[in-house]
Amino acid sequence: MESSGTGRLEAFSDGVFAIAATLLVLEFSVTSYHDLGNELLNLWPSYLAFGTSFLTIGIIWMNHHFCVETMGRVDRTLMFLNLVLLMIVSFLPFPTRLVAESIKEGHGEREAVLAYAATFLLMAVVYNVWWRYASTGRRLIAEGVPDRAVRAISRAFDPGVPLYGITFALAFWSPVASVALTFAIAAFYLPSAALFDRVTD
Amino acid sequence: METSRTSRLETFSDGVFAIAATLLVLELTVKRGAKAPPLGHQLLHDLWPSYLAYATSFLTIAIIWINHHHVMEIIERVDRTFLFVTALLLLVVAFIPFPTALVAHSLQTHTDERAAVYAYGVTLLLMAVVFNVLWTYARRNRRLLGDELPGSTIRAVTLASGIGIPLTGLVLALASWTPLGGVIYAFSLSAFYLPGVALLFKAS
Repeated sequence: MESSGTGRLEAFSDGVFAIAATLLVLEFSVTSYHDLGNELLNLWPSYLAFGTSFLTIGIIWMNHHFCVETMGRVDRTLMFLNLVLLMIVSFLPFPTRLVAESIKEGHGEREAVLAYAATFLLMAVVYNVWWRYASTGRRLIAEGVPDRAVRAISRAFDPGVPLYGITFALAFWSPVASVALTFAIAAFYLPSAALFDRVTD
Repeated sequence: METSRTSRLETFSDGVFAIAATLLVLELTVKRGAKAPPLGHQLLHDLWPSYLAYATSFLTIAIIWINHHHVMEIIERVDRTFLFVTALLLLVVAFIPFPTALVAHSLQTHTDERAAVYAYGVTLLLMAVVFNVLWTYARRNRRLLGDELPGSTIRAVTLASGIGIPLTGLVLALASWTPLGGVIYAFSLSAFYLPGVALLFKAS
């Protein structure tokens, strides 16, 4: 009971990631069909928020995939931390919609983007705790996994919290810039991950 | 870290495909209340664009899932870039319910059908393009393919996915002339998928 394989943790997490990412589309709506072309162009905040949240969930899922692969087993504490992480992921469609609607309507942007950035920041913190719990003293790491690989993942986790802290602070000054930076963090994930791999190899 | 097994990619992707396909039903709505037309009339007459759009999108998602499944079967390993491009593909798939609802409503109300079908066609085209990027990345120098996979299989998949781009591009061209024709054409693309693929594989 205390420790077990990673299969069910992965399947359950994949389900939540997939549903949260797919539900994001429900924030799209048009009010009038009379000038649909224009209406669709005016939806740009929705596209930005949708793309940002979807890609970020996709990247969390990818990292989750790489992290769990190094684990030989999971225990109750990691399962609980995992649930807290999934709770924040499944919450994400709500602030995503707030951001899209407030930017479109032109009021309440700051509060909406602060809520959005706070969600990301919280997610990054919980994700860090989740990984540190599993990796500290190789608590849950499988035997065949080299220390070097564990350290590389730990280093890749380092920028998350400060970066999302910056998006949070940026929201006070310019809400749209904060969302754009959050999008850029997701969009530049691949080159930055490659950079980390090179640094550590 | 660089390459790994494919099972989690499949559970996550299948989740998005299944949920996106299932969310499509939310666009089917009827009017209620004293002023609303009789329900039978709404269901049999007013709602037909919704049925058409629903079936087209559902079949399209099913087919992209089948193709994805096929690609995953011949792929031997995945890496970070492949996962990322998969996330991009799923982003487009998850978006489909929105233009589907646009098409259904605009055809029902006869307002701005062209813009709605353009949005729909652009989404389908984008999906075809990202799918090709995904496949091209995997097959280039057999990056993610096994050595024993025959070249004829690779060529057949390349042809079948490559042809998707001009075929879905035609939805856009048709839409500028007749929006409804564009949607019917998109429907027939997915409805004739099976014989079409059989023909392609025989030819190659």
